[in-house]
Amino acid sequence: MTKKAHTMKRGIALLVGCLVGIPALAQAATERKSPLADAPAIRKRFELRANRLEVGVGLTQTIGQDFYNALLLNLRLGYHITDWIGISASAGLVNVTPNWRSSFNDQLNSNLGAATTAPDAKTPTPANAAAAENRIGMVILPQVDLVPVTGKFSLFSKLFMNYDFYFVAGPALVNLVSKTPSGANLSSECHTDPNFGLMCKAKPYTGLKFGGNVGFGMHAFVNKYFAINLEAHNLIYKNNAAGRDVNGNGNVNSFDLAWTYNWMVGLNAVFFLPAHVKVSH
Amino acid sequence: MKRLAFGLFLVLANPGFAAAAEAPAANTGETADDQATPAESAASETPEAKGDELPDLSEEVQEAATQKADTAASAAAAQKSWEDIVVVPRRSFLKGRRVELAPFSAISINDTLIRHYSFGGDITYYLTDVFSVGVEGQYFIKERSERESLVGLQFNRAPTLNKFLYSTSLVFGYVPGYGKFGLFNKYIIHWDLTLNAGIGLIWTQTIPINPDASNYPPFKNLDIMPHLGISTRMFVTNWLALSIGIRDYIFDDKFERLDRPARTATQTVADAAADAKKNGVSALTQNIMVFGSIGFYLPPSFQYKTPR
Repeated sequence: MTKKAHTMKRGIALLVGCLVGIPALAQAATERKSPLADAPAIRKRFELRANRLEVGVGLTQTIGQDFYNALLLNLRLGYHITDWIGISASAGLVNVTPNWRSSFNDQLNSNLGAATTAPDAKTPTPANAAAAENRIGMVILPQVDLVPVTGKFSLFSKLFMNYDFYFVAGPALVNLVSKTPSGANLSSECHTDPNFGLMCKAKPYTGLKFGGNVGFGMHAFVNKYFAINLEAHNLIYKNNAAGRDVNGNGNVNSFDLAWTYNWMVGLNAVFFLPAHVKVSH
Repeated sequence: MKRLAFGLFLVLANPGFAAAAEAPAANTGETADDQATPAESAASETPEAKGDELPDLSEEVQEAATQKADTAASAAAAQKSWEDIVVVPRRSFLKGRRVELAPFSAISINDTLIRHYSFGGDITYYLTDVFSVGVEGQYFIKERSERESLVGLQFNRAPTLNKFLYSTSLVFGYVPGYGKFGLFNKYIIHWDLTLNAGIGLIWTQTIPINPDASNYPPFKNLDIMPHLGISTRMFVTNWLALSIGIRDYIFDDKFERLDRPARTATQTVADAAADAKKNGVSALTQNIMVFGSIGFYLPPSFQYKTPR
């Protein structure tokens, strides 16, 4: 064999080796990767929300309100664009307990003063206090639902249910009402003499108020189209629940408003439509 | 010598090439043989194929390609077997006969006028995977709410309040529920649901309406305090879990009277406090607290007793 032929043979061997070896080395890392590395955590999963309409009814109630808690008849309507994101509206339309006083309000009322005509009276009567206090009459919560958590659980190893856990955020529309819209139950002397005394320095803060809403909730699926929905919201809006002076300037006005955090929890029975459920790969 | 070196190079290159052949096969469903074919044809189409010593070279390449094909075929079969696996995994975390040390922080949620933050810990021994017994201790820090500060201004009244100092309880736990969830269908996280009941002691102290402590000294109470609770625990590693929960403590506490008299000239401060306590007003108090805790398990590992 000539030297030239020998050199050519080496060149060919090197060329073939590179053609074969370089892509092979590039793929070596791929070979070490588990075939399940990019696989979904759950195969053949019921996509219980994707492209489905959610319609529900239930009850929602406030927690820890200063003066009046509210139990509201609630409607929930939503559409899930994918299995993990959707849009919905939760609406507490009717307050079925307009006179549900908080324990603090009960204690306060039992210690408030009797009716007086003294111009320097500082303590309102229970009726005066109640006339100025507001309560939640209705809430409408348009929101975005983010569903990062889905799974199933067993209870006593007998009952198995699919569930999800989601977060919500959006604006809040809150209608605040008072026992009498104009505070007409304030004592008559308060109306005749605007400078009567501290007990008369009150005006209920009412009307439709705008704020923010953040919360979380869960669905526990009884079957493929019916679920129990538990939801908690924190409604953030400006309020003066007592309808009385806050900043100490002797007047009741917008400067007495402060941001408040108002928790509500709701329980709904919801239906998902259509009843048919897609199954993931 | 050179032939040997060349052959060695090809052998070293083989596994990698097999992977190169395997990856497209896995993705497209093509057979490994299909992937091997271009290599063979590339070798046979080399201009040097007409040379006198080329049959040796071609044989080596073909042999390598054959090995590659075999490897790729077995890899494809393995890939298929991965897909066909149906797994009923065991419980990912065992608690039986392990101790959990869980420092926690909590906040009270049910009192309009005063809020308490607490810091403490649970030491829990799991008799089995579902039954546990433990002790809990916590130290409270009070914060008066804005509503409390407005009661005087708006209603000309001062509320009677007690602050919590510290508490300790014996706690029994039962785990009725166990589950797992997928986070964005990417990660599987195991969790359980725990019900708690316990009984213990709480130390409280009055916050006098009149801030003149020398004439209206506060007094302390020691109350028996049962509680109920519910919590959920997410398992992070074999020895670490995160937990959130809610506990409702109920106790009969004694508050300062609204018409409490000032200390007399003949009374010591201690006597005045004792007298105020004697004439105090008892009321059932409910303290609902939301907890967050981190649980460390000892021993840090566990062994399954049943076969997989």
